[in-house]
Parts: sequence; C-alpha cells; structure tokens
Amino acid sequence: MGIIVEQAGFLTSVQDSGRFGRQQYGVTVSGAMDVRSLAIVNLLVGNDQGVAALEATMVGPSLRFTSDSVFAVVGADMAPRLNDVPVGLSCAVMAGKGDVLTMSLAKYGCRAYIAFAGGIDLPEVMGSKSTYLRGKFGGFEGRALKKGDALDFGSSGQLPLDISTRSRKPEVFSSTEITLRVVMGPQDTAFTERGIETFLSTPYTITKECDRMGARLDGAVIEHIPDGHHSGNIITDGIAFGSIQVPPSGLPIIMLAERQTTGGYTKIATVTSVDVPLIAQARPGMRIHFQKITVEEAQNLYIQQLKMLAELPDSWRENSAMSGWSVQQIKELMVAMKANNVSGIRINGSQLELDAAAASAKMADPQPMVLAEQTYSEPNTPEVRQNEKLITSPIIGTFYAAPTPDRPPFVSVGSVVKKGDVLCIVESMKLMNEVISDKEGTIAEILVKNEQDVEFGQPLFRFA
Amino acid sequence: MDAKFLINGDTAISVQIASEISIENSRKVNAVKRALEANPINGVTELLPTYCAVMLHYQPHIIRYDELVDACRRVLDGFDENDLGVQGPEMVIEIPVYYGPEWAIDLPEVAEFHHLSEQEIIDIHTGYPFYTYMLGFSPGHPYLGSENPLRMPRRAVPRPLVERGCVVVMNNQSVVEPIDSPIGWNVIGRAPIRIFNIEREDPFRIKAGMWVQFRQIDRAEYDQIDRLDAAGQYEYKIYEKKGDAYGDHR
Repeated sequence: MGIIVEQAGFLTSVQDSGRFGRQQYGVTVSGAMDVRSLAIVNLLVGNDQGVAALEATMVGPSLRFTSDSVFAVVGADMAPRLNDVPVGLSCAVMAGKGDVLTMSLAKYGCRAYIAFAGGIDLPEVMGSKSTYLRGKFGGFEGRALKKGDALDFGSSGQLPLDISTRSRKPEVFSSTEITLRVVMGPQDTAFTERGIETFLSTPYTITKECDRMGARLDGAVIEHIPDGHHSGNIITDGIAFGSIQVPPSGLPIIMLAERQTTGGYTKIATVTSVDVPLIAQARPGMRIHFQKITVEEAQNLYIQQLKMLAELPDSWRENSAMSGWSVQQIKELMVAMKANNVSGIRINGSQLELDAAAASAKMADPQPMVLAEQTYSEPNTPEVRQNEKLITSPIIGTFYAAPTPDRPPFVSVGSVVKKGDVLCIVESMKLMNEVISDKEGTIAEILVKNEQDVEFGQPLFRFA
Repeated sequence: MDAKFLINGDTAISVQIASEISIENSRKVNAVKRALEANPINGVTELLPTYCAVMLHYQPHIIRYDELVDACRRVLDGFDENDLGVQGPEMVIEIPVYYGPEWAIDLPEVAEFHHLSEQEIIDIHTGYPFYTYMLGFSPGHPYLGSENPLRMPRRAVPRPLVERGCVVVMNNQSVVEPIDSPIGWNVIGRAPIRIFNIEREDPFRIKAGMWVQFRQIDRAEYDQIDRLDAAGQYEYKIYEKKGDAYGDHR
C-alpha cells in the first residue's frame, strides 16, 4: 500500500541521505541534493532524517494514495494540493486512500521533497535506496519515476500521533541570487592572488548545465598560477559534496549529490554543508556570491544545524495540543465533523472551538484533512459566488501580501490577474496557505492590511 | 611519514603523502589506508585512496578538523616508511578481451596512428600488465597504468555512449568500462565480463593495488564467457603476481 504515480513531473526520483562507504570503489554517493529539506520532511512524518523520500525537480508529480498515510512536502514551493485543496509546505498532512496529491511548477526553489510515514519500501542497493540516475541503479528500477509506477510505503505501522503540531516555517529560497559560504582549499594555492580575489568578489551565474551531478557557473575567469599545460589540472584525487572545481577554463563547477568520487581539476574551495541546500535549490540564471569562512566556523554551523534537527521532534511533542489523540480518534473526529457540517476546529490551549461553516453541497468526499487545527472550506463557497467581485479568505489566519517581507507583494491595486494566480498568503499556525484567484480581472482594492488577522470568509480583494 | 592535510570543506580532508604518480607511491597510499583502517578514528566514516592521497570523510560533530589532523598524525608517526605493512602478495586478474570488429571500432585508427598492424596493437595491449592505481569516476572504474609504448591521445569528440565491458585506451592507460559511459578514449575491444555487477555480494572484481592482464579471445569464447558471467557462473582467473613491478612480469 502506498502511492501510484499519475503524473511523474519533470524529474522525480527516490533519494535518501546517500550511498556511503563505497566511494573507494568509485560508487557515487548520490542521495538528496538538499539534505536539510530531506531531514525536515522525514522528521515531519515521524521518520528518521535520512529515510528514502521523493525528490521532485521544478515540476512536481501527481500521486494517488492507495492507502491512508501521513505525508509532508518540504523545499521548493510547487503548490501542493490534496484533492485540489492547497496544503501547506513543511507540515504533516493526513491523506486517505484514493486522495490525490498534485504539484505544479515551482514558484521558488528547485527541488521539493515528499516523505511518507514509514518511508518508501524498496530494496537497498549497496546500503542505500537512492537512485543513481547515470549508473541506472538504486531507487525505483534505477530510474526517474514514470506515470503508472506503484511505490509501497515502509511498514513503520505507526503514523505520528501529534500530527497537528508537526509543522515548521518553510524555508523560502531566493529566485535571484544567493551567497554561498565556502571553506578555501584543497588546491587554493594553485591560484594567483588575483584569481582568489576574483572568485570571492565577483558574482557568478548558474548556467543551464546544472543537474544532480553539478552546477557549471559562468562569470569572471579565475586565474591559475601558470604551470604550463598543467594549469587547472591535478593528479586525480577525492571530491567532496560541494567541492568547487576550477578546470583550465577558469570557470567554476560546483560538485553536487551525483558527483563522481574523484576528479583531476583544481578545487579552489568547498561549499559549507549548511549552504549546499541553497545551490541545490537554485536555478539556471541565478547569481552566486562566494564568501570565505574558516573550517571551524563551517563546522560550528554544521553542528548547530544538527542540533536544530535533533530538537524538532521534541518541540512538536511539547506543543502538541492533540497529544494523546490516536490516529483512529482523529479519523473519527474527521468523520464527525463532516457529518455535522463542521468545516474546522480551532484549539486554543485546551479549549476546543468548532467552526460551523455554511456547508456547501460540494463538500464531496473524500475531503482531505489538512491539520485538525486548520479551518478551511472550498474556495467556491456560496458567499463567494454571491459577490462575483470579491475574493474572501478561505481560512482564519494572518494575511500576508508578499511571499517574504523583503519581496514585493503578489498583487497590488491595478494588477491584472488571471485565474490561478496567487493573490496572497494566509498563514494559519505556521502553515502558509496561498489564496489563488478563481477569476480574471483587475484588482480594484485590497481590503485588508499586511499582517492583519483575517476571519474565514472575510473579503480580501475587490475586483474592478 | 610526511603528509599534507588538505581541507575539503567541513566534512572531508585529504591526507596527501606524495606528489607524483608511481607504483611505489600508490603502495604507500594503500598502506596508509590500511593503517587508518587498523587504527580507526572515531567519526571518520569513509576512506578514499587515490594516486597520492587518502581522502577521509568525517563527522565534525564527533571529531573536529584540528582533532582529526592530530589523530592522523599519530597514525602516520607510528608508520615505518620502509615497512608498508602486512599486505600479502599482489594479485593479478585476467581479463579476456575480444578485439573483433563488432566492438573494436577504433582499433584500425589506433593501429594507423602507431604505424602498426591491428594484431601488433593487440599484442602490446596483452603483453604488458596494468597496475590498478585506484578506482573512481564511476562504480568499479579502475585507473590502470602500464609501461607499454602506446601513446594515442583521446578522441577530439567523446563518444556519447560506450557499452559496458568495452576496452578503451588513451596513451598507455586502459580501462574496461564497468557501466555504459560516455568516453573520449579509443575503443579497441570488449570484455565479456561484468567487472561491476550489483547482483554479486561483492560487486567489484578489480580493486586498487591489483594487476590486470588482458588476454585475447575469439568470438566463440566471448559468447561462452558472456553466457557464464551473465548467469554468475564464470570463474574469474585471479592469481598471485610474480616479480615486483611492470618489467619483471614480462
């Protein structure tokens, strides 16, 4: 029991934390490109950090559940929807048998990780379930997923009980430029002072030659110390995740998850482990700045990140308002809610409040249950239809006009909007719910202020 | 033993003990690797020997960079450069190769380049043993070196796909392709064996420090060995090396 792939997306493969221990035999480590997102998505669903999940690239897959499960999506925002209702990024979501998870083109970031409670049940090849695409082994038949593939979940048996609190603020990835902290070496002495200066002070652009193996950059040529025809070449030695090779051309290549184990080009520096996820989530055309830090600083950051990850499950347990609820009880609650036209519940400390929304006849089953906490209803509620010019909030939460504080708002007065455009975010308990336009037209008025608390059904936008 | 400790980011270092390619340096590298295996350092997860260095992958929350360098120094200090440790005799693996036109697409060009006949090229290829300096690049991919007189450079345009088992040459180096790969080297034959096979308990037939001896076979033997190896029934011919280096073997 697991999932069936209805649409494969652009490039979706099974990846875990990597295939370690056989680099001495030339075996590529492979594994998730963004190991931090993999760790978080697994923790959200109650798995160990390195368990096999799906890595989707740019355009996510559509998956039909063949059994009840708890899943989560972390990383790039591919607007995941369960039975066509948006589900937040970075939160545990309960799915029932027959539910369909759909994802689309990433709005930011490049790779999304989809994990399921119990992981994905596949045989290990040399100690790992990661797909090595070029070697054609590991994962699901050694290849990217295709329409019709059926994957089973692992038999953890236990769905996480505190799913209502299992969420974390999604990491938002820049779409324009990133700064990667690097540790210099191992062959930084093969470059002139000017070459090092160029590397650390001029921006580089990610070219289209950018995949799971590595990212080729364009920009100012990094000057090697002249060494005849040897410049840029070394006696082949080992390559690490994030190694920055500078071949004789002087243009850097960042080596990523599916890198070869060894290589013969000079390596000017290595991207710090905590910043590798940023390049894993970057897209061609983006700009990269390199910033030098010491190996001690890089290891401090690494250890801080490990600590943050280790503490996540405990933080959820402490916050769990529904701790003590079994999965069966939550399911019974869901059934009871539906039977009584209760569209959602709110938990304030130990207080339980019910929201009786005007139940639409369209509340057809099976309704996806996002978190028990989160109130929602169909976007096309009768109230909305009564006033064709208003867009109202689908949930109770906080209104955000922009994806992040430092970025422009999704829309402003005068914006011309198409069906399917994102208008704003309404955050509910750290879940970022995008409000998507169901109509075309021009925004005449924004009826709420940024960061204002909004009620269910409260008008947010008026169209001209 | 002197060594340089090169930083490779926050989770790897290279212990570089030599600066040129030689069998002697390769033996030192493998001896250092064995010493690090015999005296395991807590937090080190993986050792990767190359021509002149051993890369250590490690977990900085268990051992920090400075501590790791100190721990490596202690292992190397207890290391007698003249005694390369217990390693036993070096082994030779025989690789049967069919040099027929079905796969040896570049053999005519290689022969023409050297002003030799195709059979003379084959005789050179089978006449000198190859030493396995390291594995890398792709799974089970050996970096083989020999003192044979071949000197043809790589192709100007790499071939996008060379089949598993194909035997390729570049200068005096040669490789049996463990998996289908793009490669710019010249294809002079094909071995019917799978030097890398995930179906086997030990997928890797050639290991660093092993010698490789190519042997010419005909199409009938190729097909026979291919069938046996596909069924996991081919018995690889592996034996102790006599003599010390390239020359003594001839």
